[in-house]
Amino acid sequence: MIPRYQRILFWTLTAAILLMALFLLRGCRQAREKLTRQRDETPLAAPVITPSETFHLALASDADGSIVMVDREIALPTETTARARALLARLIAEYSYKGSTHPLESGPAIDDVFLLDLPLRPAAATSGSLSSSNLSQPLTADLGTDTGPQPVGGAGQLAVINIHGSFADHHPSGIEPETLTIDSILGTLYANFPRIEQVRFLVDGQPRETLSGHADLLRTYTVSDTSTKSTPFAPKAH
Amino acid sequence: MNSSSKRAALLSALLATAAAVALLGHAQSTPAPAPPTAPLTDRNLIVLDPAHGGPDNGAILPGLGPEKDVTLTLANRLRAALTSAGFAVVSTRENDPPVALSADQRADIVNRAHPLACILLHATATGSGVHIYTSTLPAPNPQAANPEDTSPPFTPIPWDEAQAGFIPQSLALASSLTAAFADANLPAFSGRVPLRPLDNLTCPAVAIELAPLPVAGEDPTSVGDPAYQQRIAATLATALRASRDHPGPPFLAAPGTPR
Repeated sequence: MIPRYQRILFWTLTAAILLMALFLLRGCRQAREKLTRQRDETPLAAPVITPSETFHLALASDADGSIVMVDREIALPTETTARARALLARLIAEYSYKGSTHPLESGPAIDDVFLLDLPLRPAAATSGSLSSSNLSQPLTADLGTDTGPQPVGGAGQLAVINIHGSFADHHPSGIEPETLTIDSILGTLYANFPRIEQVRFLVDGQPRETLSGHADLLRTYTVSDTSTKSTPFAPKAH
Repeated sequence: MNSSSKRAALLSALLATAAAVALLGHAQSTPAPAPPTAPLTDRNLIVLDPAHGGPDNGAILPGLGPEKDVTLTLANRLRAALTSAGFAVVSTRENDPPVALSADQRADIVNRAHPLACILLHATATGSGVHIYTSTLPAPNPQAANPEDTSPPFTPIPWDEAQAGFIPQSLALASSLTAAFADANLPAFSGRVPLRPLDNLTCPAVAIELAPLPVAGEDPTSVGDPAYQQRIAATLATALRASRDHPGPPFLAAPGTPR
């Protein structure tokens, strides 16, 4: 026979548990409503439906140091620089997936991509131009504010890729993994942006010697087909 | 003007004409200054560059610590093997200095030594086997060696492209090392990479990156394994000795470079 005081204690504790559960649920609901009220859901731009297109990604493999071209159906922005940034972000994201052949940490990698028409002209010859005095080669591009020679229509472009510092800091260190990442980026740009001929890298907006201790980031890279295992590959037409 | 004055003036004019003709002939017979050439290579000298050092740790290898320690250990083993093979060895660092040399300073050490070859040593935890890398710079244009070429005899070499003239030699060196590793049953892969100070070296140069050695049915052998490192060192020393002792030129010659 259970003593009376124990039965009273049991039911009292049970009631207390139920009350605490109800209090917790109510607290969660109130917190969610509070967050929802603070969220600004004012529409800023009309939604745009972008159709998916087939893009070529140059995917690297650490196992044999190869780069293979694969096709992906991706919906990307129509503006060229935003398109390049989104495509490279997607490329790096592929490496953070489970089972990646070239594993990289997930997180933001590409901050921005700037496209400059070639040929670049000496910094002294322009006013209102983009330049970086710390780079081994001055970067100067037309902004339409001077009367100097304008780039010929259809000429090549230089892509300046600004990488997040956190991505570079956490990138696997080594000649092979760093070179594969750069070759993967160059191969992907070559396959999808025929006007891009050269690439330079910045990290958090500043020149940096290496990606993670090995691959040179101060040079100007020439965009080319970096795939090592694929059928003869033709880049996208303009 | 009297007759003696006329004779003196005529004699002076003849002497001046003769002197001018003589000077002109001398100027035409003097050979043009030869273009500067690279100093002779010391076929008995190897330069080792254990990558990183000081505050630059390089990669952090799981279970082994910083890459700079692994490359230094490998350099010490390779130095012993090369010395046994009769080579003189210069290293860009022999310990872990508090302040690391820059890539340009390391290239400066190598370029002043004029070695038979320069070996840059790296280590990684990814991939497998031995990675042998050469510079991504393009090989020099064969037209530069054409005697009918009318371009100036000497053009300055940009620092960032100093290795370009030695690309054929570096590729031949990489090829001979790849074959030597194959003979030693060590998997080796070769490629071309954007790596400093590889592009700034004026000698045959390769970067050797040591990766774990795959073993069938077992865990890969770590890059810090003494026996693995010793096999690498012995193979490199054997290949370099074979190149040095070869009766002909050790590697393909860069255009215009004496051996």
